[in-house]
Amino acid sequence: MTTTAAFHPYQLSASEISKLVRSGEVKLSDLAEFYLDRTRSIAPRLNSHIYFDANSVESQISVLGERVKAGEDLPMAGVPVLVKDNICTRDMPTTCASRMLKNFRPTYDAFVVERLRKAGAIIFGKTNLDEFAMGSSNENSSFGPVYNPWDLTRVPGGSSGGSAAAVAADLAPVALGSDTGGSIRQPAAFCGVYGLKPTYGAVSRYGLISYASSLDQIGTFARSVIDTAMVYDVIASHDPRDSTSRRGSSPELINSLAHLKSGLKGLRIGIVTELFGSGLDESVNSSIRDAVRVFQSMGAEIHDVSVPSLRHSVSSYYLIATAEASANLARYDGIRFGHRTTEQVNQLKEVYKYSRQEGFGREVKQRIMLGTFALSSGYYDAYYGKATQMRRQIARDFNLAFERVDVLLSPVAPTTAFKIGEKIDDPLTMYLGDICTLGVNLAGLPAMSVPCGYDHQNLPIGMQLIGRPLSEKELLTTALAYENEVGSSLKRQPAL
Amino acid sequence: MAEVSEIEVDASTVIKVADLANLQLSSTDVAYFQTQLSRILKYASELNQLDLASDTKAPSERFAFESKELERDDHCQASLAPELALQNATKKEGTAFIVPRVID
Repeated sequence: MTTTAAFHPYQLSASEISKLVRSGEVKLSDLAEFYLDRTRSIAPRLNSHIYFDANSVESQISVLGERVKAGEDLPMAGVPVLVKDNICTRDMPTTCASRMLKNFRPTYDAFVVERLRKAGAIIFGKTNLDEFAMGSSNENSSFGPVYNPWDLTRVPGGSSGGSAAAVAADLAPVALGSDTGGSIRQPAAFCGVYGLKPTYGAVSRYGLISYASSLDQIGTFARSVIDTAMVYDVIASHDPRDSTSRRGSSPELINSLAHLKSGLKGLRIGIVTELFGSGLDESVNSSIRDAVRVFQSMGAEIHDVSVPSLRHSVSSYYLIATAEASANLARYDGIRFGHRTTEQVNQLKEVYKYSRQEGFGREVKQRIMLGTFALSSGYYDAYYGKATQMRRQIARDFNLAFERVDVLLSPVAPTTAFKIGEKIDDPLTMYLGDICTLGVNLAGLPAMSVPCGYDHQNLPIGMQLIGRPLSEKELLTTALAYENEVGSSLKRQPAL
Repeated sequence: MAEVSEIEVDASTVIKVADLANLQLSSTDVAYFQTQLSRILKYASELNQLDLASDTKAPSERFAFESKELERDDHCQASLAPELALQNATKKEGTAFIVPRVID
């Protein structure tokens, strides 16, 4: 390929981009210009970006050009990466889509951003999200909702809706998100891309602005399994600055996937019966059943498996997550950073109360209130205590399931992307829609959303693969075998 | 422990919780949160119908969400320089954050 104006990397994979940049077949400036133009024309229609600055991109590529010339080992050379705006970047604002952090400039990079920069990636911008990652539709953003590229009247899912929509629209081949209860997997399913939520502790949370620390996990969005593996290899590494970060070397999944043998003979896949109940759209059910038949045709054994306590995961999750949120968000008091009220108040407590009232949106306040209630004297045992007991039961039930099978399979969400405004005034209904994804976070397991079809309105459908702790390799191998088997038959692009 | 099946989230409970959470709510907020918290807590009370009382964690039981490697060697490391620590403060003077008078 020559470095002319004809260069057109639309839908190129991250792996291909990196290879072309390293070999010198593509100029970094041409690559950047393509994505800058595309972002200028499409991002405003999706409202997918909170921050995007051409000067920042240009200064990054000028430094990167020297590193490429010097022959540095850069597995992601020139790959544009979008970063969810709850992950700290030292040279860009980090707002959490909240008025509270509207002017916040981190003093350091998150661990994952350090790793991406070291690998030669270009941090191309920061993406929109539900405020403080609290939501399932990306409607709870102080920057306004994100629009689904497949149908601009619909939500992209949440909370990492900006990252999912942007990757689906090829504003970057890959992006980072965070997943506390499904916030990578559900938007990945709604936007027709791959979304990986790694095992708890596999990726450092250093520099991820906390929502619920025992559930939060950074993960990836991509348009292929190989690109998912590429980013995961770069970001999954031990970091002493996160006490929950696991020790061990980089996974190097991309090399093992390159030697994948065809077929899945001997793989035992369990269908989670509790997640195929009433409320599941027929189109979602039918697409996933088709995918099951594909797995079967490749030699996998299919079993029905029960994880009975999952039916209580919504209650358990929304008590534990909000309890942790109420503690984590107590730091936003208007003193050291974040929004401070301009009301003329004389008491310190009033500074806190007015700053928080003005700085937080409605859903964030609701979760802080719910968590404060669940932890309060007299109600702690009945709510938070019970929720943590149920959490252990869910983890035990998953362990029992994994005695019978290697991988679990379920829908990611009961429906395809819903209309903007359809559920926003009914938080409980919104929460109940998270039933398929919450148990994975409660148990700390890895899981992945894999595109597996479209409904009659051409809206994407995702299936969820769930693995044992630290079984990312097995998950990605299974997903890649499926991707290779269905080939281009499921590849569509949103018409933008 | 309170009898949760009889819980009514009234306006005074919402105001009390808001005060604990350092949130200054408007009367519209109080009404909204009273409705929503009642619905959510009523739903979550399903956990109280289950017999989880005997569920105690076995000493050897450890799941993926529980950290195993919390301890590390204690080393001195550089901390944030004062000008960086103050970089995001709305009100500051020299190396200090400005707050309303705390002691009368």
